[in-house]
Amino acid sequence: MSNNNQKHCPPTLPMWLLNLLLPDSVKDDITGDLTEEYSRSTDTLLNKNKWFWSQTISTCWRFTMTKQNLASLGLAIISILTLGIIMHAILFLSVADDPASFHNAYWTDGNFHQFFFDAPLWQFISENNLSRLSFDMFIHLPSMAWLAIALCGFIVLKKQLHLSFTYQLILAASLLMLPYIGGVTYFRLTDVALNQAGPILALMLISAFYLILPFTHLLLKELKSVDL
Amino acid sequence: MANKQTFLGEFEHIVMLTVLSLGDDAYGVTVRQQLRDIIGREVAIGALYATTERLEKKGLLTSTKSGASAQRGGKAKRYFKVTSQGIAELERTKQNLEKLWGLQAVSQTI
Repeated sequence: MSNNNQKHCPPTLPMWLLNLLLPDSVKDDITGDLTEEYSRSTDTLLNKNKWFWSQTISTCWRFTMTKQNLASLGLAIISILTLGIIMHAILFLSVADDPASFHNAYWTDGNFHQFFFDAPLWQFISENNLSRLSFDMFIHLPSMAWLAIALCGFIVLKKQLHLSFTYQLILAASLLMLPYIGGVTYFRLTDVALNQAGPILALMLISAFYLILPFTHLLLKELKSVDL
Repeated sequence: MANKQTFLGEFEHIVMLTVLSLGDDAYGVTVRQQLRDIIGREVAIGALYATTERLEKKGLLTSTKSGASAQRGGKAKRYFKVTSQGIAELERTKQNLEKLWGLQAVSQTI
């Protein structure tokens, strides 16, 4: 590139950032305006580049740190963390062979939530047992049936009732939690032996595992069109 | 009870007056230049476009694109115009400010 061209062409990296991060509605306007001001400026090349970088950073910050993007990021992080914990809980239940792990009353008395705060699960997570994962641990027909019912129900209710984002979030969380709440209620009302608790616990956990990603995807798509 | 009526923000007010003052030549570069020259306010381009987008959604501004040139990397300019609703909103804001400036306590203090 000749010296003269260098004077008129804005630096490539900030230009690439602007094209990458700005929404389509303002991308061409902002890059065009900045290019025009840059090429008109009679300042030194160093000052022009400093100015272009500062405009790029402040503009990208303003258009990426929107309420929508932050809410999407928060939702995605919560979903991924929850998915990871549930996946480890399923793995724990599938491979734990120490009988002491199952001495606690919470397995069958309806206080299963205590398992998520108990030391064995977190110790298991910290030991990195992911190599013991296998595909068949996650195959569970009743959970697949619930996945189909919950997703169809969600889509139909959303369309029929024209639900707002908040109500969609509440509906998704309710459908996700329903097998879990059902299982906990069943344990509280019925005297279940430990060796019979497995299928109920599987439905409580695997159905949530199946639903987290599809619901997150649907909610993130919805969030794009919401005016927060 | 909640007040449903919306009011122009300070920056929205300034941007609309600047667009109005520039007539047919109001686009990002000239609006920023005018704000710098007239009131000495340096405005980030992101702030300007976030505001014009909001004003367009409220129906107070409209925009059209034209005037692509090599100096702009082949990108068209977005020219802004204040709508009749925008002018009415500016007049209402001016009247409200004048009422406040006309208050005796204010005029005696300043």
